[in-house]
Amino acid sequence: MLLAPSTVIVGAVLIAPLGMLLAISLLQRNPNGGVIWGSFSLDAYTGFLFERGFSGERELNWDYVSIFARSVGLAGIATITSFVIALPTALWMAFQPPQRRLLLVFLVTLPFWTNLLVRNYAWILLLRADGLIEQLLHALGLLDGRMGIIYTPTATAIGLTYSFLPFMLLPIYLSLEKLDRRLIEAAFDLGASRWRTLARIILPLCMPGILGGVILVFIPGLGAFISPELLGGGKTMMVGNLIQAQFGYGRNWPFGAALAFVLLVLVLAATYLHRIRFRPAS
Amino acid sequence: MKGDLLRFPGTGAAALAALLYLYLPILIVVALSFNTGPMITIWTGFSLHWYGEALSSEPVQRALTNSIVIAFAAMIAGTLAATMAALALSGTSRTSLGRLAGAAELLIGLPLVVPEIAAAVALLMGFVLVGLPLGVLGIMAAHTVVVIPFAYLPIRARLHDMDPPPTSTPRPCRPSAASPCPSSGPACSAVPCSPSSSPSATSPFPSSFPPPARPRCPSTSSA
Amino acid sequence: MALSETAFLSCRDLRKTFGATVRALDGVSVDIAPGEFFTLLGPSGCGKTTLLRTIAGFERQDSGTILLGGQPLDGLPPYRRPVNTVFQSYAVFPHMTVAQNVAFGLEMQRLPRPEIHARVEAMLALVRLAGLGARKPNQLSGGQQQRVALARALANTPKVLLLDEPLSALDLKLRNEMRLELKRLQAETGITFIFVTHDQHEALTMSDRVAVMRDGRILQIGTPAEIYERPAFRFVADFIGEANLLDATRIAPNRFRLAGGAELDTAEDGPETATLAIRPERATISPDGTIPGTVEQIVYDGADTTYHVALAGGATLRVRETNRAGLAIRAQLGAAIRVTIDPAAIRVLAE
Repeated sequence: MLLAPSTVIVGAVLIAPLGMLLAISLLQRNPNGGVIWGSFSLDAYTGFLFERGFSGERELNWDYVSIFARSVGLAGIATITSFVIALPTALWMAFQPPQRRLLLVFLVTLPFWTNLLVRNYAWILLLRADGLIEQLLHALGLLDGRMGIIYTPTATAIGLTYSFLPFMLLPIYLSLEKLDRRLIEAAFDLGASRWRTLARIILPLCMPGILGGVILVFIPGLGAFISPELLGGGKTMMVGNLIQAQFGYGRNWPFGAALAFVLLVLVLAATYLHRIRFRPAS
Repeated sequence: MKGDLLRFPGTGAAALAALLYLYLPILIVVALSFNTGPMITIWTGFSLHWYGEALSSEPVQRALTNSIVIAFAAMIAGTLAATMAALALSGTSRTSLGRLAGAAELLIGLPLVVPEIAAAVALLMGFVLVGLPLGVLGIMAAHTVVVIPFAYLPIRARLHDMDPPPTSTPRPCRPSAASPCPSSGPACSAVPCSPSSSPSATSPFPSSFPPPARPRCPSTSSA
Repeated sequence: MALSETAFLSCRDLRKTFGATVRALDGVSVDIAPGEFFTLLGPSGCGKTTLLRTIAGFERQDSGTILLGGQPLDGLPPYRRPVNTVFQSYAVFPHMTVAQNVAFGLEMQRLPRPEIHARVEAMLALVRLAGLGARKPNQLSGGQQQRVALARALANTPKVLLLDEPLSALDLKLRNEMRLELKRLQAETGITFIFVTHDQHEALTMSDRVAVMRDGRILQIGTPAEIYERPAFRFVADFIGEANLLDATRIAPNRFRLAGGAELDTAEDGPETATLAIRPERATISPDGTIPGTVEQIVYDGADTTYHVALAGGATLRVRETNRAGLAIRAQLGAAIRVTIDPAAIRVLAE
C-alpha cells in the first residue's frame, strides 16, 4: 500500500517513542541514572509542584512553577512583539502589486532557511559586552558603560521574537491577501474611512490568520530552547531548557518525560481548538 | 480601486523596519565572517582566512558531511514516502479508504504539531530503550519524520487541484455571470451561497505555508 | 449637446486610460437629472463600469470633471461622496448580520442608536426582507443577499445610487421580479439611479433614459423609445433589439436603392451611401409591396413569426408578424413575396 512507508515511519519514529515517553513519565527515577522498570509513580508529575522536604513532607516548590511562568511570560511577550511588528508589515505587503508581493513573501521566508543557531548567534554578537550595538552606542556617545542586555530575559525575548517573526507574519499576510477587495470597496463606499475600514472590516475578517499567527508563535515559544540557552544564559531557563536538562545532567528522565508530555498535550489542545473554531466558518 | 486608497500610513516604514530587523543580524554575521582578527566584533580587516580555517578543519568537515548526508537521505526518503502517501490519499484511492484517510492524514501531520523538544526526547528515550545506538541513522530517521508532512502538504494540495470535482458535491454557483450562458452552473438565486470565490489557492505558494519547522495544522484552509 | 447648469449629476469630458493603451473613457460627457432612472448600456469593455466606478470614487479620471449638484466630486475619496454603490458581487459583509450590514453606513455617520435601528427596520421592510435582520449572509439566497446590498446602499439616502449589473447573476424569473422591484424602489425613494447593464431588455424596460456606450464613448443618449425608434448609429440599431441593416445608395432626395435593385422611399434624407435600419416588426408581407424577395426561413416563436426573406443582391430582410389570431403562415417556404415598409419606419444612417 502506498500509505505504508509514511505511516510506518511516522508511527515508528514519532508515535511509538511518544508512547514510550508517556510510559517513562510514569516510572520511578533511578538515582543512578535511567529508570526503574516495572515501577509506577506519579512523582514526575507531582514533582513539578511539590518536593519532599527533609522531614519527608510535601513542600510547595516554586522553582519549576517559576520556570513555567517565565516561559509563558516570555512566549507571551514574543507573541505580542511579533504581532506589533508583523501587522503593519503584512498590511503593507498585502496591498502591493502582485509581482512585488511574491518577491516580498520570498524575502520574508528566506531568513527561515538560515539556521536558527546562526541567527541567534548573530544576536549574541549584537547584544553582548563590546558587541556591535554597544560599540555603536559608545561611538555615538549615547552610552557610557555596559548595555547589560545579554544573558537576561530581555535578550531571550528579543531572540524569541526574532526567531518566530515569520510565523506571525505569514498567516496574517495570507489572510489579508485572500481578503475580497470588494468588501473593502464596499466599506469605503458606505462612508468608512481607511482606519474605520481597517477596524471594522479588515481586521475582523483576518482574525483566523491573526489567531493562527499567535498560536504559531506562542506554542513553539513555550517549548523553545535555543534562544533561552544562547541569549538568556543560565539565568533564563525556560521549559524547553528544563526538559533538555533532565536528560542531560539532571538525570531525571521521568520528570523530563512528564514535562515534555504536558507540553505536547497543551500544544495539541491549542491546535485542536483552533481547528474546530475555524473549520465551520470556512 | 488602486494605490492611494489602500495605503495605510506608517505601514511602509514598519515593513522596512521589519525586513531590516530580519536581515540585519544575518548580514552582519556574513560581513563579520570576513573579519581578519580573532576578536569577532572588532574589525581588523577583510580576509578569507577564517573560511580557509573552517573548511580545512576536520571536525567541521565531518559535521558538514554528516549534515549533507543526513539532509539528502531525509529528503529522499521523506519525499518518497510523502508522495506515495499523497497519491494514496487523493482522488478515488482516498474515497476507497473512507475514514481511514482522515486518520492517516492526521498521523502524517503530527510531526508538525509536536514540539521539537518533546519529539527529540521521545526519540532519545526510544533509542535508548530499544537499544539502538545513537548516531547518524537516528538523526536521519528523525529528520525523515519531519520532512514527511512538509513534503506531503504541498503535493497533496496540487493533487487536489488536479482532481476533477466529485459528482456528488453541488457545483459552486457563480455570482457574477459575465456571459449570459446558463450552462456553467446554477445561478445564485435559489441556492444559498456566498458570492466570494472558492478558497483554492492559486498562488504558486501552496496553502500550507509557512514551511519549516513549526506547528501548522494539517488542513489546507485557514481563512 | 448643451450641458445644462441645472443638471444633477454632470460628467464633463471624462478621460481615463489604463496602462498605455486601454482607453476606458474617451471623452465621456453626460448630464443626469434628479430622480432619474438612468442606464448605461453597452457590451463588455465599453467603459460603463469604469464610468460608474469613477463616479463612485474608486477610479480617478485622468482628465475631466464630475459635478454633483454643481459641486465637483473630483479628488474626494469614496467615503466622502454622497454616492452609494450596489456591487455586482453584492459585497455583503460576511462577518456581520443582515441588520449590521444595513446599519453600517449609518454607523459611519455616527447617528444615534435608536435612529439607526429605526432606519434599518424601514429599509429591510422596503426591500421585503423584514424579519431577516438577524441572519448571516451565508444563510441567504443570492437574491436575498442582493436585497441586503440594496438596503445597505439605500439606508444612507445617497444623492445617487449606482448599480453595477446587479441582475446578471440571477435566473430569469428572479431577474424579471427584481426589475419591477428596482423600479418600485426608485419611484418610492425618488433617488437618482444610475444602472449599468449589457442587457438591452433591462435597459429598455426600466430606464427613463439610456446612454449607449462603446469603446469608452457614449454613442447616443435618449429615452428607450428614442433609442429604439431612432438609433443614431449602426451599432446602436444593432445592439438594441433586432434590426435589418441594408446598404443602400441614394438616388433622389428621400429615395434609396438597395443592392438588389429595389427602391425605397424614406421619410428622412441621407448621404450618398447609407445604411437603412429597419425593425423587423415594421415590415409586412403584402402583395403590392415594393421589395421583392424569396422566403428563406420561417421561425415561429410563439407570440410572433419571423420570415427571413432573401433579397436580390444577397441581403436578408427579416419580417416579423405578430400572431394575433394564433399561428397563421403568411407565405410558404421558398415562395416569392413582396415586402412593404412604411417610409417613416426606415432610419437612414450615415455609415
